[in-house]
Amino acid sequence: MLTAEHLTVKYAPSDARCALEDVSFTLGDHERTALLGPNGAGKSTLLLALVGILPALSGSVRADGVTLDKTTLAQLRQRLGLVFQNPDDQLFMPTVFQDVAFGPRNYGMGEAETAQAVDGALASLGISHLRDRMIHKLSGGEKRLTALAGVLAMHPSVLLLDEPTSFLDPAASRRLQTCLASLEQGMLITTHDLPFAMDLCERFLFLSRGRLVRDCTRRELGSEEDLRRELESL
Amino acid sequence: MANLSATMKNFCTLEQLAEGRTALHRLHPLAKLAITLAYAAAVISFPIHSLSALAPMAAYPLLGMALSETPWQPLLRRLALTVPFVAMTGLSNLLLDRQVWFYLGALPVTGGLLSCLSVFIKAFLTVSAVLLLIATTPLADLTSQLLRLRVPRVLCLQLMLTYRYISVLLTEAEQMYTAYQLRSGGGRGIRMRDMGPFLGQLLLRSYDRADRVYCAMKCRGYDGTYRAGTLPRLTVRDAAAAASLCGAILLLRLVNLSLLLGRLF
Repeated sequence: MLTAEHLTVKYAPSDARCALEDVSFTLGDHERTALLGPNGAGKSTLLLALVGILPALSGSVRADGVTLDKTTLAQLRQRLGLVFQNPDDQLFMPTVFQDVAFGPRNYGMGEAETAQAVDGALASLGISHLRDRMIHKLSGGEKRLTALAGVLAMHPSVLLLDEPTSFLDPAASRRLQTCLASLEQGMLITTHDLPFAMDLCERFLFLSRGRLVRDCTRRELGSEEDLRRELESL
Repeated sequence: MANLSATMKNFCTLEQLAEGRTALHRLHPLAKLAITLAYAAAVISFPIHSLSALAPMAAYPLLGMALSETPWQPLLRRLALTVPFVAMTGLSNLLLDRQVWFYLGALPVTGGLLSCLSVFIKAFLTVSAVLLLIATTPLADLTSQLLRLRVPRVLCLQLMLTYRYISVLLTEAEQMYTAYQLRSGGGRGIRMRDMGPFLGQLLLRSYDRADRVYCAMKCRGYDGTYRAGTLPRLTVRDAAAAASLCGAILLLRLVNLSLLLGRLF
């Protein structure tokens, strides 16, 4: 379970405007939630604040009973797996295996355990065949799945996905959606891909100018057209 | 700048070659590292005017490339990159040492010419050996081995990051260049007055990228310590191969094979 309470973030203390202002929500276990809003609403900022990359001015973040502070950063980042918008920002090792093993090794897993975690993560996404491939030889879709595998190998309880379908063609996007639907972790997904959000998520959070303006379920929201209208009204 | 795509393709070639499965590829990274260091030390230790004695040392890179099925072209291209640097070192000898050692027909051969050629040959041989090492050993294995040899972790991580992100940076520069060309109204290259903003933008993008990469690393538990994977143990066969090759290199260094062959005929 992930809880954010009264989270307020400023990029610089002297900024007049808050990047996030008094944001509170709770994400249940295994719950897939879409985080929607126009450009500059603070979606990516919220994800970075949840893992402590951007420090909060006030408020708190708690995941599986661990409250975010300086001493619990590592624990919290293991529980909340953040997948970046651009996989090239995340994949920095020469081979797929090396990159996916980066997290488990940092969290003290032995070599056998690391190999098991890597193979498990790759298998869960159906990309075991990429294990020994060079990162710079991968396609956009393969890079995206590898970045996701790098996070899954750390066994997080919640996945934070920043624009997972950007740079992907419809087929790759559909494949990613199938992969995500098969995972048991809870997810908080920022996206502008409305069909993707409608198909995958059961709950929707709307951000506008750093504020959480609506929190509703798919049933409460209605159709994709209603979702589009809601977004355009922000 | 127009050849960025070719540069990128070229850049990836050695890494691809390292995926080979020949006996040299399968040799333990430590063994290959030891052979390369022994070879470089042996080549460098030849007296500055001993050209003929150096000739048999070419056997290692030549045989190595043949055994590892490494094509010549990519290695020669990289070797060519060293020419300006070697030239800067070697050509000054021509001016500094003008003592005539012997005449080749009517042409006087000075000590400076001999030492200049020696610098070129030594540089080409040692760089070839290093390129052979890179072309037969994946970078991750090489850095793991360097870490085991207590090379500073920061240095190993820098090596990996530089290698990985050169291709990303080249892609970024290529995209910027394409966008520039489409709006520059023809002409080749970047105009001097646009060079500043172009490079500045590239620097800013690189800085942003570095920041995002660091954030992504922190999100996966990076705390400033780079943890490489473990390598397989050095087998007796690897050690024996390294010992015999190092022995052969030492023998070539101590025995002037060219002179012996010359005396035979």
